[in-house]
Amino acid sequence: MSVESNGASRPVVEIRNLSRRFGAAEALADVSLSIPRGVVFGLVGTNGAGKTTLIKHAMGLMRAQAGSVSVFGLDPVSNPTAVLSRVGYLAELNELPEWMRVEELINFTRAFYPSWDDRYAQSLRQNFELEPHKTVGALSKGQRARLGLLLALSYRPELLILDEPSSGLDPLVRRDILRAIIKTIAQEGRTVLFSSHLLDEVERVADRVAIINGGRIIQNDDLETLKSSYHRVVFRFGSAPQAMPQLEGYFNWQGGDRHWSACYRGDVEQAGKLANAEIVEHTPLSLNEIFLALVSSRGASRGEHA
Amino acid sequence: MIAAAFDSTARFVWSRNRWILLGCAAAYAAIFIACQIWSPDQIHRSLPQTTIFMRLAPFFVPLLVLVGSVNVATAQLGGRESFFPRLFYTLPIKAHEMVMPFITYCVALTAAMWLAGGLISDWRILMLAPPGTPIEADTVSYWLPFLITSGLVWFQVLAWTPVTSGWIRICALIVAILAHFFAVFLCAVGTVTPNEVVVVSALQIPLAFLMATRAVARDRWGVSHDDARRRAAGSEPSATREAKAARHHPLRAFSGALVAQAWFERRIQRWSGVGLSVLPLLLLAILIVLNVVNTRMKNPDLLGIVARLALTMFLWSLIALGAANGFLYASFRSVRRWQYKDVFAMPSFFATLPMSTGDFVWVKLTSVTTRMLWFSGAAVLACGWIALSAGLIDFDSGLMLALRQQHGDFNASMMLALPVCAFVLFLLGCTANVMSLSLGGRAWNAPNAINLTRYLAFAFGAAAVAIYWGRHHAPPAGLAEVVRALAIVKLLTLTLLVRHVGRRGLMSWRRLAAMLAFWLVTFGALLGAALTLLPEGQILWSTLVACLVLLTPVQGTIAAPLALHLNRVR
Repeated sequence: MSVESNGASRPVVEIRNLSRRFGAAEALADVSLSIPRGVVFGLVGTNGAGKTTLIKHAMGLMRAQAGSVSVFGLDPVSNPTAVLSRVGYLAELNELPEWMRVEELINFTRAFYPSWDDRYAQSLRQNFELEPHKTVGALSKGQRARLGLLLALSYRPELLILDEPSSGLDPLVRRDILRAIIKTIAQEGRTVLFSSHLLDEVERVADRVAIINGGRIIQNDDLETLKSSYHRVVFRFGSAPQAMPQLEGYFNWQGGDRHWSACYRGDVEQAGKLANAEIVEHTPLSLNEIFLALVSSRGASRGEHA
Repeated sequence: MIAAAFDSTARFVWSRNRWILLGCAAAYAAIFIACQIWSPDQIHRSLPQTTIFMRLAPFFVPLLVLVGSVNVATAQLGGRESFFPRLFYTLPIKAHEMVMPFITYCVALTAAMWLAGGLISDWRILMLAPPGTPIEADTVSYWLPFLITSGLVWFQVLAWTPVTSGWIRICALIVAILAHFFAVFLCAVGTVTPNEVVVVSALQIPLAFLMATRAVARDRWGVSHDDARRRAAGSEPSATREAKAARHHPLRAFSGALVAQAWFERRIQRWSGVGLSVLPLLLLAILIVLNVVNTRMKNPDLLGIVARLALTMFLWSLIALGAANGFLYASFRSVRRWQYKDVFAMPSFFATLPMSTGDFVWVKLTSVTTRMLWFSGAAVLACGWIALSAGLIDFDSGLMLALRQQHGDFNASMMLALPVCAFVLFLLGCTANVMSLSLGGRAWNAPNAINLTRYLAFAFGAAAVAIYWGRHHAPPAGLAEVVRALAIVKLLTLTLLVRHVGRRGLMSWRRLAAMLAFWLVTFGALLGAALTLLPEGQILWSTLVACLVLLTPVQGTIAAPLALHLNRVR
């Protein structure tokens, strides 16, 4: 077996039992994740769930306190040059040097990447309508995001990591970012890891989704599998129940009086039945609904335990 | 409403400056207790620093509080925006109600500190006359607090006024400082009376209040921003200005990442270099003028005094420049963008560039060394010129004649140049050490803690030895053995450090060897200088070598890659 074929079969990002604490706060708890080559991987979670911390570990900007992280089979902390030359990174707060002109920054960044594609960079600059003589400090937030994206894409990285790329940006910039992701996927063998809490975006482009909550991965599946396995089931009771209904396998109960609904993972036909209620309807959930149901039910269960 | 404004401002000022205020109160309390045990006069004579502290504290503490409250770093005063705390703009109060508490607290704090200091020290803090002068109305400079309060409120006004260019604010600050110094001068020569200074200074407070209110009101409603943009743009369209800037700085084709990073370091430090050069250049300009005057007036005494003073100042300014450059080059940000917390934190843009930490450090070390070589070279030439033109170097002196007879003219000159080279190399090592301290990105990390402990131990140890030596006119017994043991410990830890940095791949072995070679050259130069300057047989050879091993800065430079690694990878 050749080195290339061996490398191709290996996951691009492999995280095993990663834990991280900041003082008393647990940012990541025993996280394991594997991102295969050629996949668009969406990492979703609430603010403070641990998305950025996880991504920083993948970029080698944080050392694993417990567990291991490997990118392209290498430890990004001890091999920063080998890993970072193959990774494109766009952070929510991309701290670009504000005094540089756009063309200067492009020229400066180009020196670090042997695979830099000048024509591609120029076409991106024109598409993003970035004026070459403007200083970075004079750009709007959206233009800075576009510039960051240009810098992350112009050397055609094998892995593109976007940390909350659309946060606080207008729909036009978000469209550009989504297009960039789609274009990257079109280039064979390239992988995208992006975190967001804008779930409609994730739903549009991701092949695989991991939901992170309180530093733990609570769901990690193919998007289609995920969406087909969660349903909202609506019950009609003969008479209004005295307390919130309870039934094994169902969670995230909502409603009142005689009508209650709950989420169920798996085949609804195989699910348990309530003696005094009939199932009126069951519908598959969108990613947004799955996320809300999982995160709020976790929060509720944590509240109960507390 | 005004009472609420005073209350919220007090909370704001306290929350941002409580440690400064508590520290100052503790220092005053300590001096007060000391004054109860001994008389203020005794303390003034045996510990004059306390009086100096009390003289300066009423000026510097309110200044620190102002700086802390309005989040102004000295370097940021070069910015265009107003530094009035933005969170007050959303409160339902008028501009004058926002400004009044800040100015009132500034005046009250200064007055309270002068009064407290005066009461504690029996009004010694207001005595500008020599110790022993009777405390009378004429000798007590009661006008000084008024003048300083006036200076502080004008500082507030300038910090809160948005400007079209940072230079306007800096120039205005310089003018304000000079105006206040001029008032001191006029008072000292008797052109104006102390009472006139008091009246004029007191009138500055309402005037400053009005100016500050106007500035804050305009900034709050964005009027000043519009003005600033319009005036900055002027008649020239922005595209023309940008094209002009592009012509001014044409794009360079970088042959590699190291070259690009070196260019970046040069660009962000460009203006700091100009700024740092201003003081020595001013000094040089004064000397040139004096030299011209001297050749016409034939007054060698005047030039000799000023030249000696200038040489001392050049020496100290070179040391200060070394420290300043060490801090400046440790940062990845232009000095105009420095913020309080993230000055030295490595920005994610650089942390994610595919460049090894060792390469980043190497570029920084070579850049700061190049700049310091320029500064040092210029300083050596300037000092040489000053010394020669003032007749401070006598080639026919006893020492020079002995050296010339023994070693020949050329070798004797080289031997005299050796201490200068040793000093410059020592300075470069110290600069790199300062840079290394800040490269860690955080005030507290392992290398910084170790370094700080080392420096404190060295400072306390040296002070203890100096005190003992001063009292007994001889070094403490066993000092030479301790120095030799410490030198061995230093060499051992250095070996371990080099091994650790090299094995982790934080710096290539070749570059580590270059760093050690630089250290050896510095050590050799210091040894050569010591052998030239010290009388033969005064110190044991092994003790001298051990002393110089301890003195030659190296650990900080070798630890620099480790420090930046801790900054890059948290």
